Amino acid sequence: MSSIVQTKNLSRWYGQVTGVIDLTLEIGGGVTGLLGPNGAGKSTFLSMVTGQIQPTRGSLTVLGEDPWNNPKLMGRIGYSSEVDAFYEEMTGFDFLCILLRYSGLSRKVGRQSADAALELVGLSHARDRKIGGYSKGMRQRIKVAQALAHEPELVILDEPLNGMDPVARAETTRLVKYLGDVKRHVIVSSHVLYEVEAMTSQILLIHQGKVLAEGNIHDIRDLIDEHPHQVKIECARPRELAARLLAFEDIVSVSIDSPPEGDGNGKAPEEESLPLLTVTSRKPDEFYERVGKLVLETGIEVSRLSSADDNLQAVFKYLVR
Amino acid sequence: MGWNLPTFPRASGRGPISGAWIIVLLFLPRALRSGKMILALVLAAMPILLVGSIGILFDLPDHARRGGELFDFIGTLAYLQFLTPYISLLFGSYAISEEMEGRTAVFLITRPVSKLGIAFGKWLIAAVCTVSVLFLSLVVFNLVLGSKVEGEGLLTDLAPFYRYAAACCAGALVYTAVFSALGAWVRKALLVGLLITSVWEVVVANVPAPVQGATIMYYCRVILVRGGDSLTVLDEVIVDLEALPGVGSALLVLGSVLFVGLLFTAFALRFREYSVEQ
Repeated sequence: MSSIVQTKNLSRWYGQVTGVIDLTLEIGGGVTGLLGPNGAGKSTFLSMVTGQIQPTRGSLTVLGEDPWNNPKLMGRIGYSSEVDAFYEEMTGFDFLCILLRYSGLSRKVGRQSADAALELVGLSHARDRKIGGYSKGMRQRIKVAQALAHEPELVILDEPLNGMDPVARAETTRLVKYLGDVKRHVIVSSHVLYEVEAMTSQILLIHQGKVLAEGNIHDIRDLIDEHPHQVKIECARPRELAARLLAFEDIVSVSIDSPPEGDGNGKAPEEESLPLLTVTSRKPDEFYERVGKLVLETGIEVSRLSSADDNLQAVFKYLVR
Repeated sequence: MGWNLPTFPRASGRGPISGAWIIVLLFLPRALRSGKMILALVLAAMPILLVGSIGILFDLPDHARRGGELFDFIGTLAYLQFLTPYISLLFGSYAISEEMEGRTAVFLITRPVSKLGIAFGKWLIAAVCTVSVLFLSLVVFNLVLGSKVEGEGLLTDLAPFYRYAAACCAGALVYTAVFSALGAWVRKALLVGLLITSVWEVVVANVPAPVQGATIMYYCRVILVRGGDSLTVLDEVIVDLEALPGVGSALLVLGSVLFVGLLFTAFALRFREYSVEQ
């Protein structure tokens, strides 16, 4: 099969608001990055691909079939949504077992598969812990696990790296690359170009519901380097990390924001957010690699690392000029 | 790299019956441990506490017939008119809506299971929970009442118990189907359901006019009245006892409402776009 996803004049409106407009494209095998700022139409497109919503106009086939109300096709797809919602009281293992049995696997095979998927995403140590007690990164990983566990032909990951710590990001990025290496088809969406670039060179740029460019990421690479990249790091000891980062030439600016004070409503100390370090770098590739190493070296606790959406907006503004 | 992709068989998918069955199997334990179950059990304990208090405060005549009258009175008011619709509402209205509002529906609808199977399975869980609570409460109620009236176990005459159990269970099956459909189509289904239950099923069913035939409650009462000797409390409520349909007709009506309710739930799952509405 040459095309995994094929669309022709695909459009979707939400009343007066457009989700995607007149999308005609073909996504081939391997790993494809769906890149666009928040609100670009990535999730709308993926929701149509996974049969959750119907196109308003145009046609869409996934693995050669129409996905709308097509339960059989869903057995061939694994989907990790960007929504952070779970059966909180279930353990990670039970959650996977239930979804696997629900998908038609036997109890025995389901248990084996759940363990294999947990190992794949590095969550074996937390298999018997309740999902409600998982960190943001662990929750993302269990979502990825449930998308992979039934061995689907096509894996769809909607913003899988959101909220992951640097180590989990690196592991998940390697996992996606690995899936591509073993000839799985993966569509992974992100609003951070550097995340997608680390996973694949095959990208689809989407902005305001339209495809701006598709093909090899290196073609737009030069444009991106012109724009300093802003990264927000929620961490303990931000001054120490900032001091170490400032030693590098590519760092344009660093600022630290204290977390909002507790409201006195009994919020546990561990739930309170850490200070926010905002760093602007001219060499994002090197920066991401470096920050991971620094965190490991210094043992500074990082609860969240996110790229400001403005980075990609700037690139898109340039592209649509 | 150290990773090995699992090599188990691909998901084979499930049809409506198999899908419903696996949903019950997987999600029933979760429902039984939920906060809704605790609330339902508290509600279902009320008639038992009531009859226990009456037994302690007042000397019930040592006569089984009076016990039967008390059973009839509390059974009609507490079990049929109050607990059956309201506990059904509690479980039914959340059957589908909790997956939508909790945004966990995505795990169910992006899997190879038919939408009819999901609707049927979710309703079955609500129905099983409701019926279990009602039946358990009725048994304990009967035991407590029996011990107060005769000083020993169940009442000698079990006929009222069977009739109430049948009427409440039939009502629970139909109500949960209706409220599941409501939860699948309407936001804040519990509030809307409360309004429907309180205005339609409680008020209209007691209006002294033929319009009471348009309620589910009416057909549950038919099972009670036609299932044995005419009961005192309902004699006064039902408008035209002569025109009352038979048990078969009542079951047919209730079955049809149940079927329509399930169909509406399945339609909602098939045609609504929950991820958009969220």
